[in-house]
Amino acid sequence: MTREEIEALIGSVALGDRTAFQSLYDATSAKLLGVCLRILKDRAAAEDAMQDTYIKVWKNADRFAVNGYSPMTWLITIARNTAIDRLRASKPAADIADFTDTIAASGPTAEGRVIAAAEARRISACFNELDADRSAAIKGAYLDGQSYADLAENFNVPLNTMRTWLRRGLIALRECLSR
Amino acid sequence: MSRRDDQGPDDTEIAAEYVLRVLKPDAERAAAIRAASDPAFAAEVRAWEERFAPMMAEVDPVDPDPATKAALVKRLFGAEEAQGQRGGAGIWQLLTGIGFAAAAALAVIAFQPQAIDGPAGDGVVVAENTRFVTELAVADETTRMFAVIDVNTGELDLAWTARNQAEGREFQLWGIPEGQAPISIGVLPPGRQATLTVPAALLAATDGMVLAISDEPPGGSPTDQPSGDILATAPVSAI
Repeated sequence: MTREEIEALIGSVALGDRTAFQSLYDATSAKLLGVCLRILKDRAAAEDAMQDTYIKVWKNADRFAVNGYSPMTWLITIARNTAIDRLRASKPAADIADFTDTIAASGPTAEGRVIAAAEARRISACFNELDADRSAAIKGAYLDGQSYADLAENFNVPLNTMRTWLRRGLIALRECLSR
Repeated sequence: MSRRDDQGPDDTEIAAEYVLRVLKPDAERAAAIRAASDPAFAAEVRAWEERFAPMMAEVDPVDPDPATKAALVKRLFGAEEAQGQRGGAGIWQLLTGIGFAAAAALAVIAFQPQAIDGPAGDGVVVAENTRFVTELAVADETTRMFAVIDVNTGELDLAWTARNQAEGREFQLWGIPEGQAPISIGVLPPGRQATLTVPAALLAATDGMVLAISDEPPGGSPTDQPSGDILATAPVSAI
């Protein structure tokens, strides 16, 4: 199904079209289940998170209509966050006591450009330019929903080191993607 | 309490960490409020979501159990009629219910002119204006706060992203309806977040209202008007 078709379905769902909702589910649920399963590593929990995702989609489809996301990104974002919420709720809180960031009050530059479809190759090319540890850390956070504490443990480095790696990796990634 | 104002990560990095879900809960909540009320930050969040999403290409689709769809349809359309409308949820319920980054994705609607100006046609559904947001910042940005007013519940939720309060002084929050004198909403309690009750006179005049923070002695202004300096003002916008 094309981007335009999924967009049209979400538009119909926003108007309360139940048939469109079921078509949207049929077209996208396998991908979203894959996303939830990658994070939760448990089939039953992933099916539950996927179901919760579609409930949010049904209730909030009207917001999608004007928010400028590409449709799969919007669906994946909701699925991923739903799965991570479930993952964190089922786990004792990670020890991140020294994490004392406050949000810096600087003037950000708007960069709301939607990045077009065939980006998968480009992002993987950019990942190849990163140090292996840094790209693995970003993927661990994004694809597996790992926290700084999880990542620090997996890579056997102090939390602050992990945070520095990840931030440098993100900046390098952004530079590569904006070339 | 001292805090780092000068060498923290920049907004682009915070937006990325927020999207990755690696911020600690306090910072995540503050970022969620910014994403819901600050268009530039929301754009950073959206840009990172779009940058990261292609990574999902390496995740294989998995066909769901057919029973899941049946359960979903029943859960949604079986219960929906009886459930009635779903207005009145607080911003925290909204944010935690949807997941922070996703809530930001949804909240981006707040900055689309057609959503503020009225019906846009073409099937775009425009919510009624029952929620208002604003950001208040002191000129040097050492103090910065986001506030969300829900007219249905009469509550104002606020979160600080920076707070630099003089020893022995209080911040007091005021609502100023268009063309009228300030009305006190209350002295702002310590802590990163708070919920205040908005006086009925202000709830009736949210459109075009300005919020203001004044510097006051302990216990707040001795009169019903600000007695100290006005530190920050900002108009509210409908979500």
